[in-house]
Amino acid sequence: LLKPLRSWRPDWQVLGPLLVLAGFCVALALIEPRFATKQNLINILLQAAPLILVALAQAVVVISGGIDLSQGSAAALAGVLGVIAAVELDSPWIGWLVVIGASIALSAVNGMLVAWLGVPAFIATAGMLTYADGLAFLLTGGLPIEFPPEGYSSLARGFIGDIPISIPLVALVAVLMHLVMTRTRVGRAIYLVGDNPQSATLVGLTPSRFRFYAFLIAGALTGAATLLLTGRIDSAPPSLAPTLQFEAIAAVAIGGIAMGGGEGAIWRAVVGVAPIAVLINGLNLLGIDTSLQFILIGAGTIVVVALQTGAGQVRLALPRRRAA
Amino acid sequence: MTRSSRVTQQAVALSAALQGSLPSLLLLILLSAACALAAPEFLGASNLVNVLRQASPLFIAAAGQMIVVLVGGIDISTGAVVALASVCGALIAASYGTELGVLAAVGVGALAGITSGWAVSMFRVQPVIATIGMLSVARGFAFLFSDGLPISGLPASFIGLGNGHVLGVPVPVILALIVLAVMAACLR
Repeated sequence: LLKPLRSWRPDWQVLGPLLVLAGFCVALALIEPRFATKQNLINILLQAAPLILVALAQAVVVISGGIDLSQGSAAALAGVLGVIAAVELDSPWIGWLVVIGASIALSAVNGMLVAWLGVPAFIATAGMLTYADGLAFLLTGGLPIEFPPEGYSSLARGFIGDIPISIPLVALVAVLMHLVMTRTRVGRAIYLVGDNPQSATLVGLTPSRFRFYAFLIAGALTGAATLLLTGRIDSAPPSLAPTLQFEAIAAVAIGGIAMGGGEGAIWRAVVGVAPIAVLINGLNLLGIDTSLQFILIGAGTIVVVALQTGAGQVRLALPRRRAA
Repeated sequence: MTRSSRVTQQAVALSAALQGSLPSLLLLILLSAACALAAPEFLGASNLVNVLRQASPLFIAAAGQMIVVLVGGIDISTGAVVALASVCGALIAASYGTELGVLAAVGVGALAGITSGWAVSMFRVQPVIATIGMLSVARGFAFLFSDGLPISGLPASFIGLGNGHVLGVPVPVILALIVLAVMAACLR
């Protein structure tokens, strides 16, 4: 009966960030009484909601063996297009559809370049990072598109009781993504293709097709995040979230999803967002300068990932003492 | 026999080099032709020198990126590290003179690179993650040191590194050529 317990070994890739998170929380709760309140917990979740969606998107692409550096500017461009459409046609629904549609289309361009033309994901998405940014500025003249019609921002700003709609919504999407990646043919195939394209081909899968699908799924998720990001401020600035993809990649890595692809459950992306969200919230509560926040988040990311991946290597790197 | 096989080798190397760079070479020729048609002064000597001058910093940064890519890594933090190194170099140059400013800029850049490289090689952090972290750290320090404002009051000799000329050739172009020569010598 005790056998499974005895053979249980701690999974430091998940426990590491969670312990760091717990440490943060205890420290913050002791220093800052406003931290451990229900209102602040809701705040953290509300703030983290778009990042969770984007991290899920990044995770799917990373699992398929790629990476997406374009999420921030693709989200900005999709948001600009969507809010322009919503304003022009005076319909929040069309705005939502255009945001999601544009986001999927932009991600599909990445996917086509990567899957069928063999462009490395780094290069294809770094290109998109630049030209989506350029297009967003061109379309807006550098100024935010404002005043979307009534209802456009309801996903980001609405409440059910005293819980913001976006929290259960994001939870639902996360569960859905877990089911897609574990229970569906496409999800399983994305893991196989990311793990080893040759053997995926041998078992009859077409790697390029599933790489493309991974980008399509990511596009839809990034589109949903864009709805929250633009809805939150009720406008679509061309520089919506310039560092979004870096936070998402950091979350994916902190969660312990293998950057080489093919490995790592999708929920790890959510685990990876948690320390980032709590750290940002805590630093804001303490009134710490944004520049210091950047430094702490960057250094924290490196340290957490170094602890996960390098814990075994460090011992080897230290000089060994030899018996005389 | 040896002679002909050497020629074959050279031909293979040349064609491989061309295969890699042919599309970009074609694109360059097409773009230049389009620019020359749209604005005849594009092909003037002064403008071509200007293009070289503007391209020099990017060339030097790209040379650094290339070394990292050669060993299978990638450096996403280049832009942020350039910002941080500029801020540090300019701040030091404004107070302590050009020489120390240059030293500070190069030193800060090297320090950032060493930190990323250390995380990658000793702790097996993936290059993307290490350099994304560095991007955030460098960006934060750049803002912290500069208060988000451009730094002014630089000594003329420091500005000369970007604006000056030696025998009609812009200083950045000379610096880029030195980097090119060193890279070519070291990577042979």
